[in-house]
Amino acid sequence: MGVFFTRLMVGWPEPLRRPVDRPESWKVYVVCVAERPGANTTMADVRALGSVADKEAARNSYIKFLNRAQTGVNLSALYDEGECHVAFTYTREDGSIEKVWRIWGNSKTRLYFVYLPDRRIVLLKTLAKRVDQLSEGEESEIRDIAEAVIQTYQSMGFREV
Amino acid sequence: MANREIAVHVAGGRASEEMFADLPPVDFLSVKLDQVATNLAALMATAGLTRSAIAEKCNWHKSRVSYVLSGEDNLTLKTIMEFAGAVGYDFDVHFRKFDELPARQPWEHGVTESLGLFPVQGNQSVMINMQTKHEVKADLDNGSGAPRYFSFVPVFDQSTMIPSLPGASTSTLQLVSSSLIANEVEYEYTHARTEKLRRFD
Repeated sequence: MGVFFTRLMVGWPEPLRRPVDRPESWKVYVVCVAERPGANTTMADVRALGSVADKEAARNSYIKFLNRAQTGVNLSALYDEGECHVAFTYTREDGSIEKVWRIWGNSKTRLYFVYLPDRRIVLLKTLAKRVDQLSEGEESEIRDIAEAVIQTYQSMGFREV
Repeated sequence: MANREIAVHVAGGRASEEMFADLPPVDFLSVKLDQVATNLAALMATAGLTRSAIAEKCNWHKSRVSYVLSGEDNLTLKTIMEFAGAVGYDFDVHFRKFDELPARQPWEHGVTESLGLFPVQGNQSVMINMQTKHEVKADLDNGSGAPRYFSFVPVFDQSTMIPSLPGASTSTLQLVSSSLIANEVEYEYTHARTEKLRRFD
């Protein structure tokens, strides 16, 4: 059945609306497990953060992410050194190497994402993580979501809801 | 990964509008601070400069450059002027309605005109955009180039130079060919890259 995609929106500017793109902008999407925007995994990630402070940190990270994505400039150049980098790589069944990227936002939030064609970025996971290394379980979960995203894209195209 | 496995994480999910329902509204000022910092970082990247280079040009410590670009500082006009000047730019204050697009920035070259989608094979199609040579060069410089560029050489007998692209009309390709002198673009791009590399030697 695969997954669906919807744009990341954070309520800025109010009300909640789709970010305004230029042709060169990176478009940031989140993963939906059903054909409706409300079934997105990022919302679940935010809820799992628990504390209001962590949720606020996550929202600020998203705003910063969207601001930078809108420019269309390489993201690594827009973040401080080491703040946006490859978190880990893995080998897919066809032998290709996939990179999962990480943004270390305001030292409280970690955003994990992959690039798709046509200047699309898919946010895979948001974690409130204060140590540098992912646990094996966390990395495995993120890898599974990345695979679901890529396999869906390759077999069914980009299904936006 | 099956949807069922991912679904565990969203069980009982509310509408996405409520994602931050228990938080206070987004602070207008903090967003503006970050947007200004993002613009400065994009300007720096467009000019091919590093944080160290900006620090040197502005006579700042590198940590100050990081702080300026963090989006957490309420930057003064003097700081913005020094930063922009170091990159070789002036700046204005441009006002717009909330629902209007911001003015184009130096890193936003985009396309001059989109000629639309054209079928090529089976269900495949390509979007043909028309760009000036400067737009192509700028896109390549900031890493946002198109996956492929058509290369056209101006000759009198156009029937010998236009490649066959099933589904695309000859008049469309002629329009594109008159706007893209790819050899010249490639020369200028190679030349610019060489100059940039020399600066970092």
